[in-house]
Amino acid sequence: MTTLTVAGMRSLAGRLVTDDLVVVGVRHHSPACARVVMRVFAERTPSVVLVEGPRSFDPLVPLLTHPQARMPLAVYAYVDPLKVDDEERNGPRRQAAYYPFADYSPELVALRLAAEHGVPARFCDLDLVEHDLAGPNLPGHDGRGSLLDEGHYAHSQGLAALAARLGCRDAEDLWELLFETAGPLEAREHAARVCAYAAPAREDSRDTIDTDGTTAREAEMAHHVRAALAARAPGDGPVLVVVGAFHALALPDLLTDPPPRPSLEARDVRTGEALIRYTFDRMDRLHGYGAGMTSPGWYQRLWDRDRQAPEARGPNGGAAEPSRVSVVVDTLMDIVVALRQAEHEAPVPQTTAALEHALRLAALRGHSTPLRSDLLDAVTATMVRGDMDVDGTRTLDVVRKVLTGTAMGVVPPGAGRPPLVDDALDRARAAGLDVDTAKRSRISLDLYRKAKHRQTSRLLHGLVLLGAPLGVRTGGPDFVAGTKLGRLQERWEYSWNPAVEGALVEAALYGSTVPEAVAAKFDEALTQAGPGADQATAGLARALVLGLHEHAVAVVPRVRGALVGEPVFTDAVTAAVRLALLVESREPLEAMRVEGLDDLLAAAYRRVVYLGHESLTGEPPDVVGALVRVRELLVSQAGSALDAELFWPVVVAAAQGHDSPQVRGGASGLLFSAGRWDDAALGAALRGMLAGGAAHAVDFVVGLLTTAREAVWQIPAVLEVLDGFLVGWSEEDFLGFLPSLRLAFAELTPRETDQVAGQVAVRHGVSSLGPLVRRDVSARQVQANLELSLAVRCLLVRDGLGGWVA
Amino acid sequence: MNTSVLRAPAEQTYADELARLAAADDRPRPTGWRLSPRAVRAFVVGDDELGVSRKYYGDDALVERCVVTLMSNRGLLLVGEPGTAKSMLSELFAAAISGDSTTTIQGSSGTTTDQITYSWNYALLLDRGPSREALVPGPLFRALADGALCRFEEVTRVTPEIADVLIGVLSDKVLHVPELDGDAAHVFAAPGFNLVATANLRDRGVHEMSSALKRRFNFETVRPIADRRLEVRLVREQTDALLRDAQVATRMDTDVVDLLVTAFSDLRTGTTAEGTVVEKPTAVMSAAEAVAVGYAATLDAHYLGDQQVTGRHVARQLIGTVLKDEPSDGTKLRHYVDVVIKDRARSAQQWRAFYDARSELNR
Repeated sequence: MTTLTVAGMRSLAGRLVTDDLVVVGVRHHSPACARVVMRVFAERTPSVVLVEGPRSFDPLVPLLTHPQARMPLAVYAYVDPLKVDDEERNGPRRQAAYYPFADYSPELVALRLAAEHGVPARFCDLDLVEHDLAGPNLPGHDGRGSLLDEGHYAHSQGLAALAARLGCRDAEDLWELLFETAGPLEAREHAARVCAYAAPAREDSRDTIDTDGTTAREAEMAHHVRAALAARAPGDGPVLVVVGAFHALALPDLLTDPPPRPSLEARDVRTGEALIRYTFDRMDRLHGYGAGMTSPGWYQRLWDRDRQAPEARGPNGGAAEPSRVSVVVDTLMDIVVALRQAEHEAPVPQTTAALEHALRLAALRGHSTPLRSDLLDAVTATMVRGDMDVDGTRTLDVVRKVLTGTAMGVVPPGAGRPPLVDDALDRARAAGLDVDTAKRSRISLDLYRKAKHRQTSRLLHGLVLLGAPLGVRTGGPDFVAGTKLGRLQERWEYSWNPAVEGALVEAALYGSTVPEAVAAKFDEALTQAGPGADQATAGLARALVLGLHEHAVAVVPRVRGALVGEPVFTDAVTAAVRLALLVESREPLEAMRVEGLDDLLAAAYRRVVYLGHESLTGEPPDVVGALVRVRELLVSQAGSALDAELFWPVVVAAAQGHDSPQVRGGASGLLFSAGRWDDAALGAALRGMLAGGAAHAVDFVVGLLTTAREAVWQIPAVLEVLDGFLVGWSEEDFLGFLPSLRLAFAELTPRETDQVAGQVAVRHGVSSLGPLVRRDVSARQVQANLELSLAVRCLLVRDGLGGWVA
Repeated sequence: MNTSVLRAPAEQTYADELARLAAADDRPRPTGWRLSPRAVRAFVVGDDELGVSRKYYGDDALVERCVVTLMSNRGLLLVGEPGTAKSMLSELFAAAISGDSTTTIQGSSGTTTDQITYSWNYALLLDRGPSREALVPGPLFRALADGALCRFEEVTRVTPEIADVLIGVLSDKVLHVPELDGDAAHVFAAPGFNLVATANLRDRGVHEMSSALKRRFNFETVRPIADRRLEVRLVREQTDALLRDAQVATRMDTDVVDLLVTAFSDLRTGTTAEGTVVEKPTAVMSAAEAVAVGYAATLDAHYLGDQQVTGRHVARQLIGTVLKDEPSDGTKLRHYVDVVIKDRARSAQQWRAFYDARSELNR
């Protein structure tokens, strides 16, 4: 291995750039490296172009270089084992990954220039399935990550130390400083520098390159380069090779002492690759998987600016200072516009202050020109007017969006359907849905007893989430809202139509199989969800309905956090009840696959108890309802593990001291129904309320009847009190309280009403009160009639005609 | 080092470091600054080659942004929770840039404009009328005239009407003295003048800053230390320094320091390392408080115990830190002790010693 010295790097560069070979080591998505490629083409047209990437992408080259193709696009590659055999651990697994392309990607620039000059171009790396075979101990590609392997740089200690010394945050910042601010170098100079950058990372990864597939991949690349060199006639242009700088370091030695070409045979798999449209936002998210530079929008601006003003070049052919500063100014102006649209003040003096700050920070840190991190810091310093965690997050979100950019690519004609559409169709057919005709069909799914039906339900819910209107749910239990839980069958109406296909094409950037796309879309929705416990538990329920059980693991900590911070009692109860529902719905939701659900329920219950003591607020009917639901929770199967004894003190405190009489009534009723208060205690409470005035007492009775209807006929005291009211009230008072009383008594069933009527009759010494149900008028009509009668009576009394009224 | 003073200002305590930085500093300096911006940065975050210690444990980029702000025409406002070293940073910047960190206004609800701008020697005033000799310059006046950094601590505790005197000064860089005539009526800021203020934005007794005043400042949020190892180091170093000054030989062992930092971290973040969620008390559990607890615990063990600091001593002092004036904090602390500490007490000796102080919670 070459030593890390200047001389060593230069000698390596001398072997990378010769008369017959030009190796341009790149970082993927680097405009600077793309410009080096352009310069090579300008100085000596190559005879063949080899690009790092799976060989199976070769057929896609014409599409990538098609004049109607608009970046960003991505190639989606997948490997599907044909038999899923659990014992066959040595076989390939399901794999999928993206390979994104932007206008400033050196690989794409090389392919485009090759097409322009009529030079053959191909990819020269192992295919995805072979990657997996070469590096069996790796976690593998799970369909959310990128094929561009740049994790080595982020993890290199050597690069981190160098970055710190040069006043840079991390390896990305360091790259931007060393490479993106300079002009397009001549190939050999570039090779030396880029090798110097990659060498510490190579040194730090020495132990893992054999097992992570790097060695096998480099052997494959070397094979292709040798073949190209052998096929080259003297006098032809050089062989141009565009590979990651990390691999470029190893290439010279592999060419002089070639290893055998890896032969990795993949059997019983189906593989494929498809060109799909992509967005800058998705590209930026891939950064989390170690895939290249963040803020595609920023680099696109730098690229565009450089292409626009080629005459503004500095002494060594680089972009002149003012050009880069003008990009900073333009970006800053876009940030300001976005901030103003988000209703954040950003007056002109602040903008100039931000620019000055960026320039001065760059000078302080020893950067020849402001980097992205300098701009970000300058905006942080000048445009956040308050605490970073409160005001700052909104501002920085806006800034990040501007830096990331909103570009969306266009796939050229002839690219075929995105794999997501085919996958959805396949899955629908496998579920027995008729998607080959436009007929509208119905299906009934037995969620409790049939696993296959559960899969179909998840598929249909998932498509709804993706915005593809294949099916409409017409009936069945709703686990998210907690309604109609008695239903056993879920019913759907569905039909395949062009809108479904269109929506799936749009959704292709989320993934290329339905589970992947649903998971990605769900993640996105999750980040935008509100903070409350209600929202968080609904998110969890939705994850289970969609079949995203692996995802549910990520939602659990969020739910826990939301529960702990939940300030509203009724919301905490809703969350607890929903969690209990999830725990109980073993069969349809398979919630037992989610670990920690029982703990969550316990945490929710603790929070409910805490809030019950500290802050039992809310509309009285809602609070009473919440108390009832907690009681029901405690007697349910899921609630049997909870300590009921913690709850009763809350209820007693509410019954004795809550501000709202209705809540006191409800709590008293709960205590009576549970046998904790006897007749005498309830009677005493009622009489106490009565002493507080008629209005209080009526509210108390309303609350009481919500939770303990039987009190009306079981406890003579209650009926006595009520009777006392009705006798003692004036017409006006009665009319005022009539609606509340109606509401209270509406809780009773007809038989119970009859029972009460009987007892009232006895009190008043009549045998029966007569028919009680009137079907010919509505309650509102009666109320209106009574009010009108009262008004008439008052007028008559006022005119001295009171004697006319019976 | 001056040992007859309880706490010397930073420019005295670190006089030799500042001298070394000045001697090695060949970079351009903004007018009125004693050191170049890079040297100021090195003073705060440390420089091994010149033997300058690191004084601020946190985000270096924050320090860089602050230095650039102080070069600009806006003031610097450091915000954050109590105990996050805002005042320390303010002091260090003033010491490095102007060589003097004592030009300070301490904000409170009783602060008047006299204490900020200037007041009068009334005897002279009555005797000879208004004159420059009769005027007693306040910190802001002195900073403007000398081209130095003015520190304003707790600017949000000052009533908005009084704080707004800063608006005119920060935008026009001039202070008007209407009582005097001619040139003396205006104090124009000499180059090198700027204002560094600190504030707790969310606390009782703070006022909302007017937006006109907010616009004259760049806000920087100073966060508590996130890195546990750094926090342990900080607590240990600062406690040891305080104990040296007090000439106490006892020191806390590693496991006791760990216990202290862990307890603070649990109560500050609301989650323990095991993942149990605990209710956060309203009292601020900052690193500065941790140092105070460690110091007090060691003094307790030294003077009133057997010179061995145990978890029990820490517990006793911690209780006083948490239980300030909010009764519900007592419930939260009891819950923490009963759920988390009891569990840890089973396997670790110092946590058991901590748990033994449980009875003291029932005060």
